[in-house]
Amino acid sequence: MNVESQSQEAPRRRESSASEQATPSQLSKRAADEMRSLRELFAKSEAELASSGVTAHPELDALKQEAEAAHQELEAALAEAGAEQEAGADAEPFDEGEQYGRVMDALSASPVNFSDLETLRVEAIGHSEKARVMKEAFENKLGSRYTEKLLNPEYARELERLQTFLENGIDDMEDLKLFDAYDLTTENLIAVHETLGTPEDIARIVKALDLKRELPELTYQNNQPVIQLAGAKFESGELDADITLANWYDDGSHIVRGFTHKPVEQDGTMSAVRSVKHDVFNISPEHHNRGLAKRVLHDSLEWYLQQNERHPDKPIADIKLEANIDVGGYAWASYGFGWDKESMTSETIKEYIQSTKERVETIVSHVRDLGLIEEEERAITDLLSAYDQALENPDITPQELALIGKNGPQFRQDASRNWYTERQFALEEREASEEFPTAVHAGKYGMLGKDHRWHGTVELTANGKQSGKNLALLQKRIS
Amino acid sequence: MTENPFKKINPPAMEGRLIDKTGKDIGDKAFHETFMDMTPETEEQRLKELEAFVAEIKRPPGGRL
Repeated sequence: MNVESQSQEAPRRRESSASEQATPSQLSKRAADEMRSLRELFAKSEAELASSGVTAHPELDALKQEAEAAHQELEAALAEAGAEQEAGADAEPFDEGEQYGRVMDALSASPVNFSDLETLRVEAIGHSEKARVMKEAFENKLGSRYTEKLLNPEYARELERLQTFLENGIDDMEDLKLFDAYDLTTENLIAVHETLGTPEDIARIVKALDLKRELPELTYQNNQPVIQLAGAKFESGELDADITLANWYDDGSHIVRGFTHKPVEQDGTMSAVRSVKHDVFNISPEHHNRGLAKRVLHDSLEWYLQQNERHPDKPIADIKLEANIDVGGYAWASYGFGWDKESMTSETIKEYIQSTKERVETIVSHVRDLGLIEEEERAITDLLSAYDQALENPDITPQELALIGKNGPQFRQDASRNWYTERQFALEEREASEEFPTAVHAGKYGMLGKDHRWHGTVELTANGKQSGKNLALLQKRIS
Repeated sequence: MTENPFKKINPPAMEGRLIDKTGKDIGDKAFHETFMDMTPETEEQRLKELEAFVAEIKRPPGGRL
């Protein structure tokens, strides 16, 4: 045997020797590494097939399943072997405090080193003390539910995929910064994953809110990332997270949505419910008349409902908003939004109704000053009486409020912002105002204006108080 | 709890406003365009839908209004 062949042989012998002496946990780690490479290979093959237009690949799927099953079987066997070895041998020196610190460091690292987490998980196989300390550290940080999830290699892989996505961004939205790198901790990745879903889910909702689809000339304003986490808590055992998703553009246009994932306890069982708040929709003046708001609302509603089909265990229960921006008060009522009773009491609802009545009374005062005929005075008396009844009706909805006065009297506004009844307006040649080019009824006018507001909600599930009826109206209006 | 110390959502900018001929700010332009549908036809349709909706939500279970 020459020198060259000896040098080629040597590594193989060392490998063989290491194999003979490897502990079950080392073997488990090696198996996990091999499995990881295999999964990458499968993913690459799937991507290649997809690019050739092949989406169904039963043979590849069968191979994947076979490999996963074999890996699971091997892990179980190694765990058993490890436990036997531990029971039969003197326990290796073990510093509990040091181990706890290692686990906590791995959990708190940003970005998360998933290889470190996997090493800890594998080390714990067959070492009951390390397993106990790891579980304790995980539970202190994440609670038992998410500890169990994170110890599932498949869940950890999903988080790793999410981290890569948040670091790299969305393929065809190259200039968009998704997430701050220093925020990539285990807790935050779990919060984003549980609240917004997979990378594909996140890409869809970010695109649904993207104004560049219609306005390619816009540039993303990247001094803040699209996804911002206000907090992630696990104390209750279930995730309590608040996430802001916002697209910002160089011309000042921006859309902001707040997503929450909240714990709910029912009959002693803890579960989760999600909600979305439509915070801001602001488009700069030059981009008018493109139906952007309706398209964004349509696409995002579609996303919410898809989420609810796929995750009935943590539905997006409702859309919430504050109907305070100018025409929003009336517009959102006409889109099916009901009172948000979590943000409004019967007293604040009454105050809102009173403020709408006062707005209408300012018009009434104007038109009375101009002189009303008997028929008009009767109609206005009936109108004010309808508002008094509304104030006494605890079950009144925003839609009923919006309909007050729908049969008259109708009011007109001229270019100097003076108010008239239709008859008064027609007495002379007058130019209508831009804001009210046609007649307006009291219910509508009362709910306009940014000086008063109400909190609205549309439930996205059919089992709530709205029984899906408000959602049906919303869908009809944006279809 | 993990707080993001760099959270910096700004208050809504005062852009996207609808300004009338006198220069007065009369509302949010996007909402006017998309939701107001100021023509009498669209308003009439909106009111019809609202009336139908109110009739539906006020209907007692299994009964008629």
